[in-house]
Amino acid sequence: MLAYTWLEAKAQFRNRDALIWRLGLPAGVYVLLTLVDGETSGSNTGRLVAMAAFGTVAAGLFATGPSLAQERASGWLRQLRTTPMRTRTVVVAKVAVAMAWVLPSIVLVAVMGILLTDIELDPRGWTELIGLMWIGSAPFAALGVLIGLAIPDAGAANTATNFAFMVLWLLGGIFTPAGDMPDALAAISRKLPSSGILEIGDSVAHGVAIPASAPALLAAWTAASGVLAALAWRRLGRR
Amino acid sequence: MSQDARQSTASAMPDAIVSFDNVTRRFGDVTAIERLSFEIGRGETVALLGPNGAGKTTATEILLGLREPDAGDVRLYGGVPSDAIARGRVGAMLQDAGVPQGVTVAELVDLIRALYPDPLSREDALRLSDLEGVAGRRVERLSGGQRQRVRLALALSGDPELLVLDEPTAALDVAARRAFWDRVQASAAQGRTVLFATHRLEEADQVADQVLVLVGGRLVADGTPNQMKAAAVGRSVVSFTADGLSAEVVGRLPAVESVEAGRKRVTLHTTDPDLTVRALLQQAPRIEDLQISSAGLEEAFLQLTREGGS
Repeated sequence: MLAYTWLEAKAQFRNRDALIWRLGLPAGVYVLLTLVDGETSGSNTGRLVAMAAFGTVAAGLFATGPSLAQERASGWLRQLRTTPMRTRTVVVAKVAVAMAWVLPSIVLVAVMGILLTDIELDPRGWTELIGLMWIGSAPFAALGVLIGLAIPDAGAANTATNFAFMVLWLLGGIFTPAGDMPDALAAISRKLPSSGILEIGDSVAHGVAIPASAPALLAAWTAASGVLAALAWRRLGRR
Repeated sequence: MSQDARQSTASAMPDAIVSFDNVTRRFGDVTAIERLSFEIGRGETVALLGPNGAGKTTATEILLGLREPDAGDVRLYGGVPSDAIARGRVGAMLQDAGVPQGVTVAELVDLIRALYPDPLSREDALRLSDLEGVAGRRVERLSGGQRQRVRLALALSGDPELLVLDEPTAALDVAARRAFWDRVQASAAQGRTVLFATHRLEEADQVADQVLVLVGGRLVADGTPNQMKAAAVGRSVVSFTADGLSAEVVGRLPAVESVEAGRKRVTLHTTDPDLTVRALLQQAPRIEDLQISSAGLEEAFLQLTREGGS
């Protein structure tokens, strides 16, 4: 189990494209936007949380779905089934490694925020922000696993992952806050898991209580994706 | 040699490692394997020989628990396949198993070693698979032949008791194929049981103690390579060119077992070529281009393939 997770982590962190996309991009875009508009006061927190959420969604989805689908298509998962390793270990390892991507991605955005802005948060506040957003990445990893297991073709799974990412990014409140959307879109936006993680981040950053609806939304998405992924998994085993 | 004869002796095999009992698997309308029964004893090297589409891959997948049979019973070490696999008794080389991106040969070997209870050392695993020179290289940067050896390393590194290899030399040239079988035979010599699927007759002949011939999903012959050759000994192939001689007439000649009539050329199999040819010349003195050759293992295999396919 540990051996496999370690191998998975090494393989993924050697991927230069992934390093740029999942770590460099959220922090880079955050820095760029902040330098361009010179907004360094407390009102920058919205952007900081949005870019941290951006990294969370990207790492959660892309570290799981495409590689799982690729390893299914290539036959690697079948090869592993001929060894003593339980195949669900693969899924657990993917989720663990995805979470391992999320953490530095959020930390990097937070460090940039500390360096560039006057956002007022004490060390405990920062730790809480990073920690809660990290835990909140679970539904995105679960969604990635679902895509990787349910879509048989590696190319199609890639496309589906990109599509899910675009939906969460554009419609999910990261690019445009739900409050700025037409009512119909905003209603959808508030049901997407990205809204949950944004709400958690914003609440912590502003030092207000997290509304119970946010973790509930994330938990519901995680559970639903997990159950569907398990069903896809069982269908795979019966051949 | 016949399936029935084998079944009666096989059920008495005391410590069969692999046993198939009337296993059937269909894909839609296609029956991939049909009532397949065989057993493999400890330390044997067995070839599953058959043309493409004979059901070899399906049989190995069922053996490895990767597919469920529609009917019949499969046992590995006396239990269900997944038990033996979970205990690390089996190492497999699948026909086209990929490997993950971004990891080195040595890292993959170490992963397999970590999964099995009593693995080879990393050095031995790399040496047996002839991968010492590329241990630090990433798998996606290897050549086709090297990748094939990586898949062998995946099967060998855990030092399992049973090796299951599906068309293991498909991508190799002649020299590499020979080297590959040398390595497999070296590990078989240490008491391992080996089952390999192949469509290459010479591999079955040179490597296996026991050959199972699979045609159209059914077991059509089962024996040592020598037994199979013996069955073909005394058989000869006679071919000639003749216009207007019907296959029916040729088939009635003495000692003839089977006839194939092309547009001009007729080929027949006989147990007594002298007798057959004498009678043939009496009936049709104007035949041309007469050729007589004695049958070898290849002829035996082709004949089995024809019979099984019909």
